[in-house]
Amino acid sequence: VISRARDMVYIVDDDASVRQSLARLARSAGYDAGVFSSANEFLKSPLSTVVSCLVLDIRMPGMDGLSLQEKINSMEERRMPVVFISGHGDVPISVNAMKAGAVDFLSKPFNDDDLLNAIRSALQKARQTRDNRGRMTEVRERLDTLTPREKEVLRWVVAGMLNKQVAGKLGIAEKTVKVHRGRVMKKMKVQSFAELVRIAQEAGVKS
Amino acid sequence: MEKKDFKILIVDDEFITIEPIWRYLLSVGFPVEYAISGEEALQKTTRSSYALFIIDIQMPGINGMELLDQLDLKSKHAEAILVTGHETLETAKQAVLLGAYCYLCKPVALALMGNQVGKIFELLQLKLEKQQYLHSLEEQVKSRTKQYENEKNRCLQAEESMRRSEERYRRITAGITDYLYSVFIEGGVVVSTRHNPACVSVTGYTEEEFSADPFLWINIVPAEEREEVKKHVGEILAGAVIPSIEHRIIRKDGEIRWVSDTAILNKDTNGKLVSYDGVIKDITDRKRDEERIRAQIDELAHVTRVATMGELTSSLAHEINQPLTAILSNAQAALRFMNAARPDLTEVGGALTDIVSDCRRAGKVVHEIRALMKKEEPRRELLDIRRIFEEVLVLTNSDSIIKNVKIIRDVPGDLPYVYCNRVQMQQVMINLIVNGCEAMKDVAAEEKTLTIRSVTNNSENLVVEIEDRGHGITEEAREKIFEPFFTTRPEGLGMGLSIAKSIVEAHGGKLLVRNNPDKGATFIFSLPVQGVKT
Repeated sequence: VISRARDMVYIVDDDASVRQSLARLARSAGYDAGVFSSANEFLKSPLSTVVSCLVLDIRMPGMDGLSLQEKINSMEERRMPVVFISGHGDVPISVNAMKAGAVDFLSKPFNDDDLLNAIRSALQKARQTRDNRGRMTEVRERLDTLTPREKEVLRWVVAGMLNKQVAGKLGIAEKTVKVHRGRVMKKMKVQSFAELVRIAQEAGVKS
Repeated sequence: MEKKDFKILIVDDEFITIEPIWRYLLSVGFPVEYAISGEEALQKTTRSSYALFIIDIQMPGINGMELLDQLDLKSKHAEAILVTGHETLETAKQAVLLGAYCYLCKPVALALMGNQVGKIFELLQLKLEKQQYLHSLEEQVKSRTKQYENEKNRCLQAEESMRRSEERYRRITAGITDYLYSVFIEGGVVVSTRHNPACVSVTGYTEEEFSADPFLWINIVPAEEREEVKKHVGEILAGAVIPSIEHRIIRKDGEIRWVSDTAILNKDTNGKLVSYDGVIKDITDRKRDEERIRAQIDELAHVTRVATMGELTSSLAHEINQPLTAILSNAQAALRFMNAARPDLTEVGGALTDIVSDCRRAGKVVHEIRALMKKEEPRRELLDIRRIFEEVLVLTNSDSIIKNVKIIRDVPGDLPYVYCNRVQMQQVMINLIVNGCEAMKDVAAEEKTLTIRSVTNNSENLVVEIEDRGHGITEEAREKIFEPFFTTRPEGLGMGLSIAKSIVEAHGGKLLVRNNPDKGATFIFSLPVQGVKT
């Protein structure tokens, strides 16, 4: 039996009752839950590598929720989607939170469905980001197998030049360009020229 | 007396008689003058005084006898020797009657004369000595008499002033409306008491009634206060100098009045208590004023408390919202665990346990709010200040979180108890905590700490300090900070600190503020310690 790792819901709230109850609710929906009483505690703790999201209280002593959101957005390894919860229906704060990329903003007390839906969206977003990040790693690995000449040909082709123009630019025969292009397609494991252009652009290949 | 002071006058109409006597007396050292007639002799005595006259009886004009009569020897303290040519019994008798010392016949034998003069001189000397002695005796008697009279006057004066002072004391004690009493003690036991007439106006009982019933003084004290009054008297009898006691009495007519009893101890030279005097004063009016003022403070305290709670509404709502959130989430999580294909009863049990504790938590908040909002008879009790801190922090927790203030508690576990009104003390602390958080509104987040510290600097006072890290208090604001309606916040009522000060002072304490040396201000209040934690 292969047990798939559960998604992780991190909860940061200074109120022990609230964070324990939210953890229990997360567990009831089949997630793992990790609780922290402050932003600093969360920042210091080692995190799981599974798909994760953060349920974050806005008002806390010390570093508040918005500051923590800003902080993790700047950290590659801790960046994750955030669901804000607040005991005060303060509109201006919710606007800022959403602009900074929050998935949702809920007022305490809230219905289980509202929170669990928000968590589901957040985890979906996290999974997407991770998948994207995984594909990107693969593309980069393939790019690394190209010879310098092949990379050069790719750059000009992606920029929209015809084989003939590329040949002129590089001072080689058009036939040779065609051979390079065929090798690039093969090494990058793409079926069509259009696909090659898309992944090259995603991977940041510039003309 | 010396010879030169013993002046002699010879009176004779015959110079032949005068000359040998004159010469002789001069030669033995006496100053001698003479007169040749009675008239001349009288004349001379007006100018000069003589100790001895030697007088011839037979003289023309004023004869010797007449002269002797006129000279009035006694008054002059002088003596006389009569000289005669015709010795008769009659003249001799007469001469002695007139006070002559002796009587000599002519021709006068000078030796005899000298002998007589010498005797007279000695006599005169003795007389003078006696006179001087008498004089000094008289002086002594006089001075003694004077001393005695002075003494007598002084006694009279003292007696008079004592009489006047007694009269004054009698008038004062009779006219005074306070009840004065004296208690006389022998061997540590009360032997008698005395009461002034004002005891009637204070207690309704007369002096006689107090004297007749030795337990009346304690029986007029209401039963529940008797032990305390007895203890007080016991301490006085033990010789302790103690402040006056305030207690109630039941008057003869049944009316209950407040009195203060102040005693002054009288000790003998060995320091043993022999008596004490006391004043029992009716202080009912003062007590009523105090109660009225206290009632006004209570009323005002309630109003401002309600206002403070109004300002705290949003944080109080949050304080209830937190457990409600937890309850809702736990309940819904429990339902999910129950409805799962394989129900997890451990999780359900955990959820229910948490729900119970959060319901209690919310109930506690509501209870504290109600206690503060409720207007009840202000009752004082012996309380642990730590419990009051805990109750207050339940209510201010959210406010400090909203304001992002970290609260540090530095309260030792062995604080003495204080006698106070719980709700009013909470009010004072809420005010100081909310103000302290407010004072740090525009301070960097990491600086926002409020320290609550409690110490007993001596055994008499419990001191509570609430220290913020704000901008401190300006000199101008410091003067007015405890005045009513002074506020720096547009939404503030300006009653918080003023009423906090009134409350602390009504508890016999003090509330003051000082700026910290580095940053912010500290409010300090002290309360008298009433009991020790056991």
